[in-house]
Amino acid sequence: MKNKLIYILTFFGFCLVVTACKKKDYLIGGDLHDPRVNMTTYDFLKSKPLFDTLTRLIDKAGMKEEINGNTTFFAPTDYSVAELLLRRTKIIQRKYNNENLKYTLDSLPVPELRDSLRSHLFAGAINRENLSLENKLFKSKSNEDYSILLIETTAYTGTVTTKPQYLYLVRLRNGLDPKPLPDNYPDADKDIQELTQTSGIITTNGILHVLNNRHKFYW
Amino acid sequence: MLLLGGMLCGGLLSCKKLLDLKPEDSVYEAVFWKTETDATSGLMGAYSLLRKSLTLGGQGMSNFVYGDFTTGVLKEGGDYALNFLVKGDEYYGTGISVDDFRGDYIEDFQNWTPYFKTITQANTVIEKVGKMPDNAFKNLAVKRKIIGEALFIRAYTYFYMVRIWGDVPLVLQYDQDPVSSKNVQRTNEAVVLDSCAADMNRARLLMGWNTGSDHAVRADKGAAFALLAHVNRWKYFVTKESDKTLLTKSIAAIDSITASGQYSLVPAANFDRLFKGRSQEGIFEINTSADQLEYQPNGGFYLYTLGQPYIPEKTKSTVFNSEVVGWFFNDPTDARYDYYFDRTKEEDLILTKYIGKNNQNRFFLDPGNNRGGLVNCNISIFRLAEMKLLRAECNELLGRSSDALTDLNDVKLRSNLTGYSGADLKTEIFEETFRELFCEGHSWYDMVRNKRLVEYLDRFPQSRFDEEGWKWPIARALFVTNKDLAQNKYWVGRLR
Repeated sequence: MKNKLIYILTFFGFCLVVTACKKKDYLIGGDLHDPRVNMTTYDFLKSKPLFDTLTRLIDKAGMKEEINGNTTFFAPTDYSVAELLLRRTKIIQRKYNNENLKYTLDSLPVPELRDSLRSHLFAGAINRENLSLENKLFKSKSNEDYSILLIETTAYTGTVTTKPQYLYLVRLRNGLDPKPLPDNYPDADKDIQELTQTSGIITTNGILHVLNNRHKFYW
Repeated sequence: MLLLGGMLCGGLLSCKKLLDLKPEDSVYEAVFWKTETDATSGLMGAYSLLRKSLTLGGQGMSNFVYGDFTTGVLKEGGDYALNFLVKGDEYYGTGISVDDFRGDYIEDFQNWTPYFKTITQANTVIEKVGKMPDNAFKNLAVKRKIIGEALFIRAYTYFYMVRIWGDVPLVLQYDQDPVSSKNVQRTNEAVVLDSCAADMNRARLLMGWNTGSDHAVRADKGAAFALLAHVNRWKYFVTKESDKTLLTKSIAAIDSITASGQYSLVPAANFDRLFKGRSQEGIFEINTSADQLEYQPNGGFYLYTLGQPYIPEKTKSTVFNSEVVGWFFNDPTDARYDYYFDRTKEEDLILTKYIGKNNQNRFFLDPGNNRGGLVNCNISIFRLAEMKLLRAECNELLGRSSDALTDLNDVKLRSNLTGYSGADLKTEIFEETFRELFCEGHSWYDMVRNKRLVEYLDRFPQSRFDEEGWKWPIARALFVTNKDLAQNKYWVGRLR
């Protein structure tokens, strides 16, 4: 009886050892970040609700092909467009002294819209690897001057030894701001610096950066 | 064995002597309050607590949370808790509106404990210094000054609390036995204000005018008069505008300030020095100057509202409501239109009032690397332009338009504007006050006492104003220790 019990226990233990040792793949959390989306810029924008108004505007301006060329696009979000409509609504309400007036997407003239979209569009691929902490000048498709650069941030603290760098799109006004800025430099000449909330999305045709929600669509 | 016995005896004997010694480096009541240095240290403790109570909360800027975050000038508060004041409850969709004084983590601002710490310290200084012999001081003036300053700190703290909560418990005695102290009920706000006025009428006789390094950062005769003016004006408001003599008292106090010749308006070209502090215009300020190796804890409001390019590598999280700012600042010839704001982005103005348009008041903790940027400005409590506008307000209420106009235009002229010639003097004085004191921790109270909340804050209904809903609720934590308290009537049943 006692012997039997030992055998049973030994067998049981043996089984346990064998099953416990069974080799399985290690569990790895998540996956490595892949900036490639395997879609065209337009299709990617279309797939995200944050850009549904923007894609309507692109359709309206008939610029789908242009955006899907070999380009870098700084996409304004729906918030930027909404802000523009709100501001224009206030202007026309004041102008005609009628608070029922509303400026809508349909009110936007197409040539102006095209210019505005092109002021966010650049030829070729512009991504982090081509940029540095210094200003690098580019001309947009609307033929205006911009600088695109990386700026270090202190927003993340802790055991970070290398500071994260944010990507900025800077609209030049009356030339690049001198550095350091002279005293009493007029506000109207100060460059407008816009932070990208997502940068370096690689689409099948080019690069896509997303501007922050507070960006003013028409600059 | 013998050795052990010897050691034991030695231990016993030597201990006897030690036990008789006083603790050499600790401070306790019986040995403190002997010299002038003790008295000054006690007073400095009160100043320190006063500063602490004006810089409460996560960002160390409660003075501006009460005074400016509530006034609709911001569109984005940049902080979860503060956004309850700026945007209302957008997180739970309960329909709680802007300026509602309740929401997660807002309870810190409903709690008056820090103010009573200041008052306890001030009461202690008044009692203890009062009982010190006169010959402990260099001269009698020093003793009188210390008591006067403690009275000011106490009265200002009570005045500050009355503007936030209305009735508050009034404790004017030094408490010898805090362990067995009794619960105190709230005293009517008018009575508390009377006590503040009495304190200031006493203090202004005890103090002189400060010059030199003490100017504006330690209370003096001017600070006492300024507080007296404010206390009377606020009492006029809370007593339903029945007693016009309060306005006359307020005007008389400000007359004493202007007649003293101690103060003058700083020209617009030197705005940076005005807001840095201790200028010829400053009457009372909270010292947070880097010149004396001090700065605002946690950066404070001035730093909080800034970002690149003023503070390198910092992302700004607040956004001013350009439309509301535009109601008040609509004249580009106004020196403040340009100096107070960086207008690079019209939709996202940057408040440059404190740091200076050319970064005049920027200070780096690590100057070699331009790291650790701070704004080196004091927190202004009273200043001459503010006093002139308050006098204009009182004169207008008394129907003395020409006197009101003189003060109003003094302030306007300083900012390169021409004198006012319109028909609505009352509104102009209010708006000029809002402009001049923009983001100085005053605007909310200016809106309350001029009864402008409903008009300028579209989400503040008249019914709430009538129920005194401009008062803050009292934190629930306070009811746990004091069962004799009563909640402000508007908030009964409204706290969640």
